[in-house]
Amino acid sequence: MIRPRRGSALNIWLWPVLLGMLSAAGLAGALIGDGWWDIASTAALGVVTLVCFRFWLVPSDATVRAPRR
Amino acid sequence: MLSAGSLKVWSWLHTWTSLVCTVFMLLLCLTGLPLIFHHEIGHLLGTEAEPAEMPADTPRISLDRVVDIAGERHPDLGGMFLSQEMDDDRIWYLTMSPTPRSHDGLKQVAVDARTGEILVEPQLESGFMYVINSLHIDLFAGLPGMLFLGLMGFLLLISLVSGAVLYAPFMRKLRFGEVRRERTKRIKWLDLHNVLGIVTLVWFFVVGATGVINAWADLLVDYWQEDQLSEMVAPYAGKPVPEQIGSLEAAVQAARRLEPGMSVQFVAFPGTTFSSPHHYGVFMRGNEPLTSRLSKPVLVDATTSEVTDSRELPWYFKVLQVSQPLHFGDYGGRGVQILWAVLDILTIVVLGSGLYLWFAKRRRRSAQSVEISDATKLSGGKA
Repeated sequence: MIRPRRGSALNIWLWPVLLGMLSAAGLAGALIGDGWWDIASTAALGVVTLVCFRFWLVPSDATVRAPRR
Repeated sequence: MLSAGSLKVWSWLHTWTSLVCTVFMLLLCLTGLPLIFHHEIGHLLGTEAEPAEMPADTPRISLDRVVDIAGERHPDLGGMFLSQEMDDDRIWYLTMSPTPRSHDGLKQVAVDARTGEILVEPQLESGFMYVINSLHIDLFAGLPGMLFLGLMGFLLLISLVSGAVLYAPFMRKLRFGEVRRERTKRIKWLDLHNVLGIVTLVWFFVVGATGVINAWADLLVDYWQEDQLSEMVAPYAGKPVPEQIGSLEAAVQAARRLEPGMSVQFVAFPGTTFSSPHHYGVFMRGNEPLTSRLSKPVLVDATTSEVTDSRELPWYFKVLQVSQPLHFGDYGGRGVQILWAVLDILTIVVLGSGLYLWFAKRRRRSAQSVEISDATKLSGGKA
């Protein structure tokens, strides 16, 4: 896997842009249809929310290993 | 990459737009939380109509009966609006008023569409949800209050955009989602503010922007009345106002014949701001997820029960109507409804942490300046 350089625009924006697109798809989906559309929207917005709680509540490995500056 | 100068400008913009709107945004997030569940809370408080279970094809009573039944309850009031919820055609809500254009003294009666039983009389101007609703929409201040909250919402949008611009310079040395917990409390909350802010950005922006659009609702309706409704009723200008208005049931049936694939959203009685003294304004809506949000006005002559005009709503009205589900989160079933509340709580955390960071930075600055002045004193210099 290609690891983008830390601090590059790609590295900074990759996940925020992907999650933003997922949010937009989740917001739009349930507006288009019912049934499966609602389920897809719930899943998309659910992932966005889970990502928030993951970083809020669970200390990441990175913080444990990160050297003190 | 941002230059030092533009970084300073964005940072100033983010700080001050946020500071001005945060208290109001916290109020809107907190009052918005019960509003997401207003039906559920209504059931708990007993203020929601609970129609009896009956076969789905139970015949409906005439709408004229509905008006008579509500009229017996409030003999001194007349019909103003009749409406039905999108997902429940078992109940008619009749709003009654002293005159068709009254702002005060309104009463509402929920009538079972099959039995004619009065199910509940929703309180329009008191009760817990009324207070929450008023705080959320206009701070009890009418149109000026709505526009003020709209302005605060606009500041929020600037604060979100500037926050997103500032995200990159803060993240240059960090991984996505990295929260430096081993450093100071301020740094931990700075990192959390950044990650929670950027992940909820699109949702928060959409809810904020649709809220700003909704703040213009009253003005957009006024404009539509000037722009379109007046044109639709123009052929009746100068005609004497009919002394006796005709059947509501006949008017609704005429609208249903014109739009057989649609359902009734609400009916404006003659003389209200959504009709004319000569017409019932029957507002129909579609039955598909997206079209159910869009209404189509059908004007029916109140005396002859003939349809006189019907046209699509203009683009700005459609924008307003489509923005509503995206603000309320009531369009994707229970799952989306619950996530709306969770995301609302997450944005409270973003707002609160932003406020905390501002105080922490100020405290640090003043502590530093005290240290500096102490140091200058100790070294014998002038403070």
